[in-house]
Amino acid sequence: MKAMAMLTVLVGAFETLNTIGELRAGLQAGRGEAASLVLAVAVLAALLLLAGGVALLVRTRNAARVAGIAAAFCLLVFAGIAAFLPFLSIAASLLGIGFPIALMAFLYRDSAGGHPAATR
Amino acid sequence: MRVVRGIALAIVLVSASACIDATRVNDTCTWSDPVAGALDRRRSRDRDHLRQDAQIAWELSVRYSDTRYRHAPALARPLRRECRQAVEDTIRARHAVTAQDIRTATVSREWWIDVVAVFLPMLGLAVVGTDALMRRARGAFDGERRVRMLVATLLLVAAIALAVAGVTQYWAMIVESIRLRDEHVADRGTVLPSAVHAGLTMGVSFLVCLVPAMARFRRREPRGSALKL
Repeated sequence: MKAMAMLTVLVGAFETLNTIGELRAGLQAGRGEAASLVLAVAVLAALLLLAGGVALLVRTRNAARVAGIAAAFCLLVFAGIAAFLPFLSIAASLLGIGFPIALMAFLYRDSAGGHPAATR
Repeated sequence: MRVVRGIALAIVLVSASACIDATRVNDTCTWSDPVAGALDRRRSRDRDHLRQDAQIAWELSVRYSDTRYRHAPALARPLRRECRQAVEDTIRARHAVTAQDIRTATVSREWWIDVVAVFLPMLGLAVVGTDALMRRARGAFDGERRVRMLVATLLLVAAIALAVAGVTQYWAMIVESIRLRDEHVADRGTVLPSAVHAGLTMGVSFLVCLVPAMARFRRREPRGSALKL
């Protein structure tokens, strides 16, 4: 659980920095309001993933639920961007899609196995 | 495992067979063409040649700007425009075609390659992935009403389809970079069929994911029988 929590924090931090960088570059290049809005939502999703990772790390109440919701939101946002506005890098997109799937599978297996840290 | 290896090999071979002509690309924006004379757009061979010319013109402009300003798009863009304009002028003069002909050739695709190398593997992955996920998700639906199960299944399928459509875009770019022998696809990503028809890609992904999901849904015997409806 601790390793997964740390990985979630790292991925959340990476995605947050990457999407902020992309947002700044887009604003400088005049990419358009719609793209900037989509990227702002992506920053929010990445921050939520980061928060989910922190919650898992400090083992707060409902940590697994927070991380699960963050992973689902992150998956939808990054998959949506990849499907309709694929301007993020391949690594950032595949991480934004693949990692939430892995996290959700981990949380599901953990709760099914009755692990106390995940069910709290 | 043998099937997966076979499919991977087939994709590499198909992509490689449709690669850009390496003898005609360079980073100095120098045009070379073994074929001279007017092209007849009614002939498939001539249309193919013009499509290749348009593809090479785009590639030359990308390589020309990349060798100078790879990480400065604002500086690279004018160079790219300048090179492409010069090359397209040469194509127009050499083959007696119009600017509109070149624009049409630029966005035209060899559909069978996109279907075989991009869409079929991704749709196959969608079917296998959905089936595996639905098999595992079955336990989570135990004891739920059938209508709730159906709604949950549809939402799950929509999420899987969205992920598949997203991964398809990047797989299409990877295949395109193999075909162009250039890891920088640049703005050519905008003419890929999966990007031009993003909504259609998403819709087809949803339908393809729905088939194994519904098969699992129907096969399943819910607790409490049909009275729970």
